[in-house]
Amino acid sequence: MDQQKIETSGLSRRHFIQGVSSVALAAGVFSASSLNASAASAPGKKGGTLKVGVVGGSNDLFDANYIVAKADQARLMSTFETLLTFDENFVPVTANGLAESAKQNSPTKATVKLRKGVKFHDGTPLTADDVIATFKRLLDPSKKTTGKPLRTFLDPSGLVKIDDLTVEFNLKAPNVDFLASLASYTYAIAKVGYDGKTQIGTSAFSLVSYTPGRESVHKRFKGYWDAKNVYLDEVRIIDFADKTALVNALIAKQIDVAVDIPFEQYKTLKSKKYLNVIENSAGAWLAFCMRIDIKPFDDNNVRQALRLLVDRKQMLNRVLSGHGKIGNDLYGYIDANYNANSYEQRKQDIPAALALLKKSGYSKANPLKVELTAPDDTGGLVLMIQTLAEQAKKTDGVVVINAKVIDGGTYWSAKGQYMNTGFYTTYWSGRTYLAQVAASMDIYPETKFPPDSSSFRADYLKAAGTANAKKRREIVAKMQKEEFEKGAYIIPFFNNFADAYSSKVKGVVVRPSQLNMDYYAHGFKNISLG
Amino acid sequence: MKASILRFVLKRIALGLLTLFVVSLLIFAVTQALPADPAEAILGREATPEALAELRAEFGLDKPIVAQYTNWLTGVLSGDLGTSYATSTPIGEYIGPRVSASFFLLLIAAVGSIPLSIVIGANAALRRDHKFDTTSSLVSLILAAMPEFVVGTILTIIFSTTIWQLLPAVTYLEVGAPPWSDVKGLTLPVLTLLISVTPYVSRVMRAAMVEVLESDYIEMARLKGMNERTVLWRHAMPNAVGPAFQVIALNLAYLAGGVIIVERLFNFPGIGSALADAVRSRDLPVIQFLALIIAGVYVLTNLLADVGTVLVTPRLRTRLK
Repeated sequence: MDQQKIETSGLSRRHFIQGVSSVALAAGVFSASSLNASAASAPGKKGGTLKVGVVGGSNDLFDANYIVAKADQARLMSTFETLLTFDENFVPVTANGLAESAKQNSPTKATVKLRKGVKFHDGTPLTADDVIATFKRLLDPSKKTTGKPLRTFLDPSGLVKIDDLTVEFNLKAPNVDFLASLASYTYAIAKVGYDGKTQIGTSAFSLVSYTPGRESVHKRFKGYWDAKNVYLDEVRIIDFADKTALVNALIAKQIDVAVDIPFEQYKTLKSKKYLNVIENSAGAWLAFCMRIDIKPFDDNNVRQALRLLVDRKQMLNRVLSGHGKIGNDLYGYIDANYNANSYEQRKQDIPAALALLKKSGYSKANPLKVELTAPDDTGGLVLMIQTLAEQAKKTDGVVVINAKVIDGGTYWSAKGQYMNTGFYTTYWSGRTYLAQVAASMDIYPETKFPPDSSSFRADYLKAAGTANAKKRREIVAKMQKEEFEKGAYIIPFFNNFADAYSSKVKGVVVRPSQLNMDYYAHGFKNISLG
Repeated sequence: MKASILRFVLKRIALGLLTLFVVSLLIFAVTQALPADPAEAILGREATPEALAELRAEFGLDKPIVAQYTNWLTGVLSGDLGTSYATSTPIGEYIGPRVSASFFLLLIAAVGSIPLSIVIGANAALRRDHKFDTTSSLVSLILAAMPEFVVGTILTIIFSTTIWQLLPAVTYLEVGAPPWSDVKGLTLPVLTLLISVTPYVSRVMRAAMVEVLESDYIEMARLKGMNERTVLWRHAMPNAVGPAFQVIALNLAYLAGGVIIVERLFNFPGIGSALADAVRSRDLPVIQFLALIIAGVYVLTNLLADVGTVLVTPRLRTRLK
């Protein structure tokens, strides 16, 4: 594999992260330490069809720049490639990416040079124009894409073609983390004129057919730029309406890979000799959101009392059968600056919660009654609200949580419970700290934190423009202090995810990664059957 | 007499079409009452006002509600079923193969369960209170009490995952291949449906047969010295099968909707998962079409049962004149 790292001249972020992550590793904080980060069995045999099962349905999407479900991720990764990818420390690198080099020249400028000889599945060569067209599509608010986060610091006018293989990104707001955006898997490069309907990418396998809710068939692309590392002839991504059927199909040897297995089945699958199970964590999290502009959550005593109400260990065991890391109401787990103030783990403390609530006038006679909602389509969230409602009973009637499950179509819609009510649930994949602040503050203002009176926003802008890592850490520590003491997310844990596959499947890399099967083995590259 | 039956059938068909029209109106009204329109449901949390507007225009949701319904209705009447919002594929292309796959499953279950349950029921009635009767009654009671997903799960554990690995756990149909191309994969879903339907129908068959066998005309036939076989097949069966037809029809109609669970369990590419997905994404053209199909099966099976009952029951046949 290409181990070439990105130049970050002038900015010492990569160096810094690597330095810190090794310290974190020693302290057992970083996820890799608890995972069997074993080297994969080397791929060997050429040929064959890999059958990949994933939970999906007719509502699945196929797009280079938009996903809603794991099935969409699998298909995106099988067809398209990004400029950069993340290594196991979540540092953007060129390995498996379309960029030959990428350099952040300053907090407001980055230059990307493309690999030579990369071809799209229809034979046309990849050029700077395709990159610019892709980012223009991402920046266009009328297009169905995940480009929202980019729009806060990039305008279409900032995309400049230097030559056929070189693109310059001129940012309108400073962002020292910009190269990480280029490794974001939904910012995959499609051709000029891409309309989201014809799926032509640059990956190792080109799309033959796609039937929504059934399967997609991908065949080996002869013109692939890294053809020597491709073993399979064909990949089939098969939809399963139900996780139980998915697991049964793997046990009955009807599929080779089951993406994202339920943790209840973890032990059963692990006990089968002809199967391998891998577990991964990348700082993905599930959370309760409290809107700071909606009563009673505008009262910080209420917010902090609710945080103290949670028995996080019990919740982790119940929701994920223990497959995750306990959270401390701070996000950005994969960031070197995670919990920069080294706060102690928050634990359930009913007397402290009651004391805070008493200050705000809540008692058994005048209880805090709140409604908490979760969608029925996102694993874990339903169990989370039910568990919290039960844990609240320990307050002997001072806090009464009414847990309500809402149909997913309603919950996530523009007028749904998500983002429109005082107390609800959400999920996120792992991000670095500042990227998550940007997402939670402006793009998906789930809690409306920070309040106008706070310096949090100004601090964020300062941190995003501070190239010096040590100085940036100081600002981040201050921001995290405010979130820890007055924030509006309850983050009980970071969730792991697991995949299972036949022992015939060789070449699977086990390391911390944001997507299942190590980014779906970068489009099932490097994977062989035997 | 022929003309009178034809008149009866035509009247029932007209009533059936009226039912379908009312169903389509109801479904449309219900989907309008659901919070979140299709554009919102499809875009979810990535929705921007611009993207919402674009999608609404694409689906014609910006038009008045009455116009939306009449557009759909005129489309259907002229043979254009519309395009699925979520998958952007024409309904025929997207749902067609699923409908035929589900029908195939239903057909196999019906073809298997009807004779099976009639034979079991009739035999139990003939050997009333004997070993066969008590055993079949007990077994069918137990099986009838188990929901399909329990039956299906137990079968999977026994035959494909835990005890033996003899049969596939899920049905895998290549896209474009007919449902019978995976015979092995069909075994468990078909078996599950058979086990779910047969006990019910055989119990009704037994009860009807018992009643008929105790009637005066059977007594008369026996007294005349007819052999038992003739009594049973010529005299008892036609009168007992009438009520069974009604139950079979109800069961099949139920299966058209209830097959959803079995399809999910075995990942069978039928209408079940398509309907569930369509409700989630408020994919109105798909919901409407599938609701019509399911209601159509209901109307049709009931019609066939009524006609069948009339034809086999002399009493009813004569009344039509």
